[in-house]
Amino acid sequence: MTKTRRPSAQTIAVVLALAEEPSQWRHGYDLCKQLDLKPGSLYPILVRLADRGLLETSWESAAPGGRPPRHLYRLTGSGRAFAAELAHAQPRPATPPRQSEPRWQGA
Amino acid sequence: MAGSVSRPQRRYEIAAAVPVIVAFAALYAWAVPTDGQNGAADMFWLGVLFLIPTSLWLITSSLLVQHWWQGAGVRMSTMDPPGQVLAAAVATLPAARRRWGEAMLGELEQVRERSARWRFALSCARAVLLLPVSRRWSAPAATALVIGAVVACVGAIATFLTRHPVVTDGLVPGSAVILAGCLWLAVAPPPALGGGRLAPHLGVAAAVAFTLGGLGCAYAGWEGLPALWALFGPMLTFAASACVAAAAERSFRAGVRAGVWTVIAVVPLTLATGVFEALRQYAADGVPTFAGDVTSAGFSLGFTLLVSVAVPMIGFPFAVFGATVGATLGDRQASVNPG
Repeated sequence: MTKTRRPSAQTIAVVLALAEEPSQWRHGYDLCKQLDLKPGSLYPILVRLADRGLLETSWESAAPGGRPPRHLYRLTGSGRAFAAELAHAQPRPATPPRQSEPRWQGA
Repeated sequence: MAGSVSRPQRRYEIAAAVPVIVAFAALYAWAVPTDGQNGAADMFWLGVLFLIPTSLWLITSSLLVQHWWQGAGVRMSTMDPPGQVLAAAVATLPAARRRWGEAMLGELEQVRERSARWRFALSCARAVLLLPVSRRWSAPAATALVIGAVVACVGAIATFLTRHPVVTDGLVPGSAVILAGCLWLAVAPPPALGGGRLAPHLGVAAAVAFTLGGLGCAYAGWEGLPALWALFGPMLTFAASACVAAAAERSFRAGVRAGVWTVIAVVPLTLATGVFEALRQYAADGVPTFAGDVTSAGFSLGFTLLVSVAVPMIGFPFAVFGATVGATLGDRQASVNPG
């Protein structure tokens, strides 16, 4: 049996952000911008979620202009169930409002 | 052209050589007696003696940079500085985690503004170095052996301090830091040390072989044999385990991992056996085990610690040499017997 520990506020925010449109593949940078999370905080969360089978990952099929392909993320079935559990337990939305000029926005 | 070294690679080799030279220069300055009694000739010969390990470590750092460059360096030459920093960090990831590093590099391409690129790259680089590794130990037997060796070491030092409370050498904190480092690397290895079981097992087997060899030489009763083993034992055991690991996994990295595991196992093992043996022998026949730093306990804890640290200092370069040979042999074997 897997030991369950209460996830951090940042993990909850990431899971709920991914659950907004669960069928949609998301990019790491977009999640950083949406949640105003540093990538150094986001990626370890994504790694843990993937390790626990809550997150599905894929690579962009065609990367234009010779740039490296982007990694894509969405919740698995268990991830969606986990998100529903978190949303139910959450008294108020954990996702911070979108900012007009996020910290990771490039020029 | 095969064998040629590009200018950026040369720059990295020089950057890796600088800390080696600084560290050995500091060690030399520390080793030279400050009482003014040493003549110029003594200082010269000590300097010549120091040139040997310094040269070995310079070759080691150059080999490590060369192998790292083959994996990440060429790609880095087309990147801007933030990309280079992140790619350098990603190159330390084991194969199982590499895709996450690639994902970060892919996302960095989306960040346009220079300062934002730096922030993104540095934040990711920090995450790469602290990326969660599997909660399960990749090599439980190797980890258990290192834990056991550290526990034995703490027991040995506690016994020493109980019997000889006045002979502390002021180096007990040094032992604690070194042992804690070994324990941390064994129990919660960073992603760069992650991978298969073979390398950790071969690494700790080499440490056990070196320790048992040292005990065997001490009990054989041949004068000079323990000193010979202290010099050549690390070279043999470190090189053999790294060579076998690299050849079996066809990976230079696997050989280096075996070398690192030998380091983290050999330090507590030699320190624990050194302290126990010195205490036992001095109590039995009153003969000091180590020449030089003889105290009322018959030996010095600080000197024993120095010996246990000198073993990996001599041995680790040979692990890197062994890894180079093993990886080449593994590739050659695979090309002869494909599939």
